[in-house]
Amino acid sequence: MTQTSAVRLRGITKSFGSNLVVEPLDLEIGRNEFFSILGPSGCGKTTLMRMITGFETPTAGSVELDGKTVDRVPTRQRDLNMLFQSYALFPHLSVYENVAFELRVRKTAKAELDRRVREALALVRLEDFPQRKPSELSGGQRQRVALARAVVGRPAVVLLDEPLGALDQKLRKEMQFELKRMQREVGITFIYVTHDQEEALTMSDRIAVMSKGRVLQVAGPTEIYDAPNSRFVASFIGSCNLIDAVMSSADTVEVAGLGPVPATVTGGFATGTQVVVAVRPERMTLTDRPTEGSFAGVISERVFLGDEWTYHVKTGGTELTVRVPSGETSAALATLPEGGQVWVSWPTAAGRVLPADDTTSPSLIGSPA
Amino acid sequence: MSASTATAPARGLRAPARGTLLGYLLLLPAVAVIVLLVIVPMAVIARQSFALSDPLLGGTMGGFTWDNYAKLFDPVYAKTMGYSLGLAALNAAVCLVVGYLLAFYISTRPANRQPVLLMLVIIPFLTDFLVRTFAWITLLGSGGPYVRIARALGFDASSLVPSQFAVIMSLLYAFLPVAVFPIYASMRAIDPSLREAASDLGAGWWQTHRRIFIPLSATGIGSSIMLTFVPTLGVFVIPVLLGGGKDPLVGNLIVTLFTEFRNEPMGAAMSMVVLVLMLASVAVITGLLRLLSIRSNRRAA
Ligand SMILES: Nc1ncnc2c1ncn2[C@@H]1O[C@H](COP(=O)(O)OP(=O)(O)O)[C@@H](O)[C@H]1O
Ligand SMILES: [Mg+2]
Repeated sequence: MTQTSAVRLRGITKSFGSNLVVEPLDLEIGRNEFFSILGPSGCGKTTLMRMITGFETPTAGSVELDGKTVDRVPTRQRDLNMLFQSYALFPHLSVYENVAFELRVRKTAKAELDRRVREALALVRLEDFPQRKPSELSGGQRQRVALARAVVGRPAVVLLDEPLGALDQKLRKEMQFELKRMQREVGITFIYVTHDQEEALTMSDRIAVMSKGRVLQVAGPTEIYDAPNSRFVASFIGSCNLIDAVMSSADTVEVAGLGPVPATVTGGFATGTQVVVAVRPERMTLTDRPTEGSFAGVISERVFLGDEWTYHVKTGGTELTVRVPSGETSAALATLPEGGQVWVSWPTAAGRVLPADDTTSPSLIGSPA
Repeated sequence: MSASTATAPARGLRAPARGTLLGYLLLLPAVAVIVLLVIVPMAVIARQSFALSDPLLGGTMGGFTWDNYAKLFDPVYAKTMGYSLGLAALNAAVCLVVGYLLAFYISTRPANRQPVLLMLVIIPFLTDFLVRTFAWITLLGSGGPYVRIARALGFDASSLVPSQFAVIMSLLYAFLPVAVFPIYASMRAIDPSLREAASDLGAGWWQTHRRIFIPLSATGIGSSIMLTFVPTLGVFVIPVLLGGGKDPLVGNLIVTLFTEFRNEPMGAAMSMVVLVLMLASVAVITGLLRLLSIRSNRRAA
């Protein structure tokens, strides 16, 4: 492959004092990729991003942009822009001047500047009030100004730090769609930081899942969801049944109280190893009579969510969550009271065997899809 | 429990309505101080500036004349006035540059270290003005550290007192804290991420200051200029002690007119002129600031 990646991190690490915030990590982000960094608050997402922009100096490792090492290049000379969590709009400048800032600094000719500013404002659909001050805008509009300001200079990479965090639910949905549209239109690599798994799943080409300063998995949304590589990834993205189990042979797992359960074993686990079997609630089937390979249980609780029912079923010593789409609930099942007897089953492909302890799982190295 | 906390604000709101008279009574000491110590003396000086002087005994003889003001146009006085304005402007400029840089430096330090740095700026201010001025004589004068260090390094140095340089240094030292504080106050209110945003968008040091920090701390800068320019016009100790007294300032002139020439009406007239100059400079600076903020509002075409 001759094409270089937009961003490449090699062994990048950051500690503040004795506090290791980002563990050594390698990452490659392709051109025009919508790449998300997903993880809970405090896991080091912002710090990782700030090392790419150059606001933080990595404790070790190096950053490459477009195939060139930029460790000694100051932020203002790096071909990237950041969309700040707080937007960081210049309060004394109008919308127009905020967007024009980079072009003015770079001494762009007047006509060209005007054309590009208007283009950027059109891109974020904010042509109507270029003279307003940031304080006269709503949260969503400020966000758009910040976005226009970040893309007006056509950088190779735009980094967005939880850009939708301050917006209300409806606006978030709208902006998610808009961001994705924009990214496709302008053809810029987006590195998108979020703690919202749904946001990451709907928008990204690839996702890096982070926990406590470590990148656990880098993969596309469907792979992250269907084939999580660790306990953390399985439970952080969507909901997941994590059933404690033991390897009874090289390719079978056994759960205390249930016996052998259907599962696909991928990693090489030694017999006798403690593992967890991860099964998505919607991959489980609930019936009112025993079926092939099903486990008997008792409904401890059921919750109606409109489009689906969530059942909590006690089987053996384990509490399982099962989701049943409203339309698929059989009459017999629907009339069962809490405490009623049911049977739970799932296909072998739906059960994934993962290490019981995340610290032993390998930190994966990402490369462009 | 919660009921009592809920009624507390209501009681607080009622209080001013009941105690308007009390409110005025509480204002009285402040009003009295201003009237007795500011307005009355100023009225006395204003009156004296139009009075005839008593050539034999000093003091005033009453009457009304414009002569005291007319005589100020004498080249000797005009020159002093010009020199004072120039020195005040120079001092304001030096204080502004140093104060701005210092304020920016302090405001960008970690929050827990800022108070310490501010204390260091204030400490000299806690000593007496005269003591501070004499300290400069010792530092820059013959046999002082400046001369000794320079000689040790092989330079042919001699005492810097009296000199314009010593005057400027001493003025800077005297006025730096009042230059730093207003700017620091403005800077602290600026979102620190703006600095990163500016550098992210390609702005270097100068562009970041010119386009972001200077406009955003303009009020502080205006106050800083006023607080250094205006009082410098009234300074009279520093030029005598460090400048050799060859170039008197308006302040010196007023002192001389009152004490040596015993020409109180002329001293009063000079004081009034300085007062008017001060008010005018305050008006000009405020006006400029307003103009600036209006212009930056209308910048985009
Ligand atoms: N400048 C700093 N000095 C010390 N600790 C920091 C600094 N910046 C971040 N941290 C610490 O690093 C950790 C990760 O922070 P951050 O990267 O902001 O996480 P996230 O963006 O994922 O919420 C946090 O524990 C935070 O306290
Ligand atoms: Mg963050």
